[in-house]
Amino acid sequence: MTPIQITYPNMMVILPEVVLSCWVFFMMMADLFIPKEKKEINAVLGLIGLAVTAVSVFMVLSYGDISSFNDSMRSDRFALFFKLLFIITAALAILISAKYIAIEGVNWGEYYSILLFSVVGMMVLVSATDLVTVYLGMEFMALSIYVLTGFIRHDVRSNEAALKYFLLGAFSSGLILYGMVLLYGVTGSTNVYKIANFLAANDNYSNPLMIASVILLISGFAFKIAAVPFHMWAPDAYEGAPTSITAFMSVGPKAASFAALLRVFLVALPVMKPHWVAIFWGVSAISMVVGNVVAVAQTNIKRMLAYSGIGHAGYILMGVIAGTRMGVASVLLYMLVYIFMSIGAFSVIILLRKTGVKGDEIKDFSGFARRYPSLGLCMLIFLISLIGLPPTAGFIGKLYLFAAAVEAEYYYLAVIGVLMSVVSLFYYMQVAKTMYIDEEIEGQELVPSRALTFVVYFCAAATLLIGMFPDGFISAAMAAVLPI
Amino acid sequence: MELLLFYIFGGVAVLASLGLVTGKNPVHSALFMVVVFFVIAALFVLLGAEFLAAAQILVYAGAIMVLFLFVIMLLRLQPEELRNTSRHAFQKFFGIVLSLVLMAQIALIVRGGFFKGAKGNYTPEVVSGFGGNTEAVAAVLFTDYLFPFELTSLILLMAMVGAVVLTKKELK
Repeated sequence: MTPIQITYPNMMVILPEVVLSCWVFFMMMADLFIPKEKKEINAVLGLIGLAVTAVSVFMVLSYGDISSFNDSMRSDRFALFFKLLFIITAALAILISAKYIAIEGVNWGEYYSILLFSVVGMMVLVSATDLVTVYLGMEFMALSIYVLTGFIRHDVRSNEAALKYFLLGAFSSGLILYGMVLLYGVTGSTNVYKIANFLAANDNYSNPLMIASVILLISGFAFKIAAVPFHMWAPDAYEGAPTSITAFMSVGPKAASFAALLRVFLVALPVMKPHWVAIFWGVSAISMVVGNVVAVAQTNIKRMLAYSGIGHAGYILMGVIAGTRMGVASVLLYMLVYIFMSIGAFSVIILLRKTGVKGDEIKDFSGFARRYPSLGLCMLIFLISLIGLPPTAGFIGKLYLFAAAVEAEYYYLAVIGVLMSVVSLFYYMQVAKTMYIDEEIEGQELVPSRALTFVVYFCAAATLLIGMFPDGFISAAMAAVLPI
Repeated sequence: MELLLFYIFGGVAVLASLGLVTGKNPVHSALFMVVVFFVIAALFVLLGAEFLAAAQILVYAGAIMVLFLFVIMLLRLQPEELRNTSRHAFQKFFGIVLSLVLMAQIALIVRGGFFKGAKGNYTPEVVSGFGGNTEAVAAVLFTDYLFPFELTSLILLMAMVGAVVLTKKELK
């Protein structure tokens, strides 16, 4: 028997993941020595860790397109773009959490460790070029989010949300895994490039196993991005989770899942495109319709934003369906834009949270903008951006998505998208109307947290900045497109 | 000899599976399932996959079935509830239909030709080149799948921390 030859892997490929994981180990240890009333130190530590990780991402950027671990992980500009997005998302989530989890009475250090662990999982997911690493990254990310969703242990709604999310999530992981197994069975490989090569060399795409595999993969991924008909978990999970986590999971895991989806479908299965486009077309259209129409009937703003998130998943799928360089770039751009408007809107909701009052009903916003004009204006900016009107970032993002769909000649899809944006105008403006026109109500004090108000202003500024000067961001997204 | 063993273990597996699905008492069903796991492990040994057999017994018969038994005992189902199986008629119907579909699928695969796929890389010759099944698994795990292997440890750590956070009686 010959001894196993282990070639030393190129660790630069996973440098950001390694740096952040080590930092989380350190934070777990440090948490033991931080007294109960000073748990905010954990938040500061988390931010430092993210800053260090951001530096490592820029270090890796200069190495170009590298892969290692038997080509199961790849560090290209596509992955690094998403990694930076996750760092921004997590940093904003930590800033809005510090005070909020103290109010909820769950101010424990593990919150930050698990949050950062989920970022590690998302980083693995966007770098993964092997179905095994795709699956593990996805599980890592999802398991962390399940725990965070149920983090308010004494709140039944939080428990219920976590349990629902966990059970349905486990089910969808099973679907994805089944799809991957069939793909492996047909192609004999789990590597996305080898799968693509095999399928290109062998006329195998009429194989019934391939069709089954594509259907199963789409079902699993549609769950992860909360697209109809696999969206049922989203409103409950969004409503029950701690609001800071709702903000985080409305952006981070969605972006990571879209990245993995792009890699799996555009890199591994380009020959199957006619098949998966047909299914995604339906998923996209029905997500836009159901998400936006059902959102109209919501009275809880977290549920409303959950349904609007379902609609947004439908819009973003347009970029995937187009499948062109422009389409992929528009997905990247929209994910960037979506971070600021979504986290911004949820931060405003957190501002209204105080002991005894949830502050997440739409009527809790009555007269909010008259009492707090500048914060009300920020919320208005987020709402306008979510609708997709100029001069905000949401307009630029949607413009590119629709343009990509039209360029690839999916006219009907673009028409549905525009029509549903008009529907969304109705329910977003309902919130604006409540804020500006309805009577002021008693007890509308804000959470006294400068970090939280900073996030609100920062997100509003970023939303406007991207909306008015989009050139730099667009070229960044174009530069990060997958080589297809 | 090998064929005879195969028929013995296969027969036991089929009988135990039948006992598993027809058993009225969930604890009996769980114990039948342990038997199924053991004979499947024996079938793995016959196929020359000793590592898989050991993993099968340790993970499934050991860890997962203990978990099952714990859940069954914690639920403490009353005998009356157990006897009342009429509400499962719907499930029973679909169970039978899906089993038939599965059987048809397996028959198609066994007949061959309908589902085409690539030939696997790990033929018996390749595996014996490594020095055996366990060695082959180790070689693949620590070279090609080194990163997933290490990543799993991180996931387990995270899951452990998460489980403690969610269930510990008092957190400081």
